[in-house]
Order: sequence, then C-alpha cells, then structure tokens
Amino acid sequence: MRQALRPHALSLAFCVLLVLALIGQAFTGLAHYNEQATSSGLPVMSLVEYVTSSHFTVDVAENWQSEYLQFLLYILFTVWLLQKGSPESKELDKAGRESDEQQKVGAHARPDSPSWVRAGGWRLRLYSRSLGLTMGAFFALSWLAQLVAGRSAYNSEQLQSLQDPAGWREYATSPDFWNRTFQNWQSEFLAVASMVVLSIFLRERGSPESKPVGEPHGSTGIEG
Amino acid sequence: MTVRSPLRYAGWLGVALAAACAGQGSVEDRAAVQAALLFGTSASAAPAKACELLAPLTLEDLEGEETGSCPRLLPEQDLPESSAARGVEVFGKDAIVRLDRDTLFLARFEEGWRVTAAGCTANGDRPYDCVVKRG
Repeated sequence: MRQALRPHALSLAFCVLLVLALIGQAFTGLAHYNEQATSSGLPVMSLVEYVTSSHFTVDVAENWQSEYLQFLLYILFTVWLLQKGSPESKELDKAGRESDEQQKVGAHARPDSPSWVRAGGWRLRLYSRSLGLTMGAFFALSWLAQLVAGRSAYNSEQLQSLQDPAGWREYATSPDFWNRTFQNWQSEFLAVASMVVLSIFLRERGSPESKPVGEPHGSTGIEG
Repeated sequence: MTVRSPLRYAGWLGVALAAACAGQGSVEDRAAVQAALLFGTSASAAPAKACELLAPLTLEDLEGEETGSCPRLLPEQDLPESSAARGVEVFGKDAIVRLDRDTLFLARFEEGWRVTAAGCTANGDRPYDCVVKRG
C-alpha cells in the first residue's frame, strides 16, 4: 500500500491538508457566525446549514479564485517573461512558445507522448494550452461563485442591519466584492513575486523549487 | 491532466452556486410572506397572535421599553394594517417583505419566520426607521 502511494505522496499530502483546512474553516466560521448571531438576537446555524450557506461559500470561493488566477498568470507569464537567476524562470534565450523539437510535438512526438499530441490538428492545439485554459476556467467559475455567494451573504447582513439588499450590478461594483477580490489578489501576487526573487539567492536542498545549493546566483532556469 | 478533467470539478462549483442561492427559493419566499402578512393583519386585530410572530429580542425590547405585555403594547405602536404583499427578498435566514402599507424584516428561527422589525420606512442610504425593532 505504502509503495503504491509513494509516487503520489505530494498530491495526496496537499489534498489531505486541503480537507483539514476546509474542516477547520467550517468549524471556526460557524463559531464566528453564531457568536455574532447570538449577540444580535438572530437565529444560529447548524454545521450543515453553515457549510451550505452563502457565508461559507463566499469565504471559500474568494480564496479559490485568487489561487487559480495566480497559477493562470504564473503559467502564462513564464512563457514570455524571464527572471535572471531564478529557477522559476526559463533560461534567458528561451522566451516564447519554443520549437516543436523542444516541445516534443509534431514530427518530434514520442510513442509515449499523450494521445492528443500524437493526434495532431485541433487536439494538439487545444492540448498545448490545456493547463492555462483549465486554470482560467477554474478562476472564472470561482470568481462567479464569489459574486453569487458574496451578494447573498452581503444582502443577508444588509437585512440584519435593516438596510435594503443590493442588486446584481450594485453588488458587482460594490466595495464588499472588490475589497474581497483585491485582498486575495495582493497576497497571491506577493507569494509569486517572493518565490521568484527569493529563489535567486536562497536554497532548499533537495527541492525542485530551488536551484542546487552550490549553483551560482546568476544561473537561470536551473532546478535542484 | 486530461482536457476532460475540468468537467469532473464543475460539479462542486455547481453545488457551491446552488448553496449560495440557498434560502432564495420560492418555498422560503412564500413562508416569509405568510408570516409577514399574518403579522400585518393581526397586529391591531389580534395582537396576541402577532406577538407570537415577533423575534425573541424584538419582543423583549418592546416589553422592556414600556410597562406591560406585548398584546397590550403592540396595538399602541399604530402599525399600518396590510392586506397584500408587494414583494419579498430572501437571503439565507434573512428576509425583507414589502406589504402594501408596511415593510417588515424577518429572520428564520427553528420555529419558523419571525419578525425582527416592523413599521419600517426607507431612510435613504441609512437603515430603515422602524417602529418595532430589536436593539
């Protein structure tokens, strides 16, 4: 069993952490909501009601959309933009989509290349952009979920404060929606920028996210 | 990752959207309107019945501010008597019901929808001015 799981340990570890973090968010979010509801004389929620509520959904969605945006931009920017000295960057003479030989497509596809690579045509064109397209789709859907759930959660609070609820256009241009959006975006961009720059000068032995410990600071696109 | 993978995850996002819309369905709309109308038609004529529809803190504040019980105090608030609903918006456990002569705010407790504020008039961008409210 352990031997079967070992080649998949990285994804499994992060999936477990994701589940644990979501469980923690559910319980602490429920406690926070019920604390405020009790002090205001309003009805409390059960755990099931809370995790199916717009309050929980918007708190999850606003984080997920920014993560997918981060990866979408990271994947796309690293095609053309370079950073001297960073293992997060391609080598300085490799900006762009690269040659068929470098990408092992067309006449340079291998017998064990993915089936849509060997098929060629529109399948190859689509598959060549599938990672960015998928991240972009997840970003768009998560941001839409943030908009829908965010409006519902915001309006719930508006009604508790004896104020009119906001319509779709009003909420989409509201400080609540954009504040949630920007506070998540800034942290994602900070994380990528930190990683790109710090990995120029710092090392983590054994990690593919780091250059080899003895690699010079000026080496670009070299992973450990 | 294959190109088909995104479809496997679309289901969760669909559930998320549905969850975000929870409480906005017509069942809750009708229940909120029913409670609001019952309150609106009985506040003067059958105040004891209307008092049962007040949220706990709203009832407590009404009885706490003046001397007496709710069935005696409620008619003295001169709430407009309404007979029809013009609109309802429900978000989660909170609702606003616009009747023909009044606007009410409600919350959904275990025992059903209860009125948290009544006799409310719009006040621009500020909270509604309500004759009966909690806090």
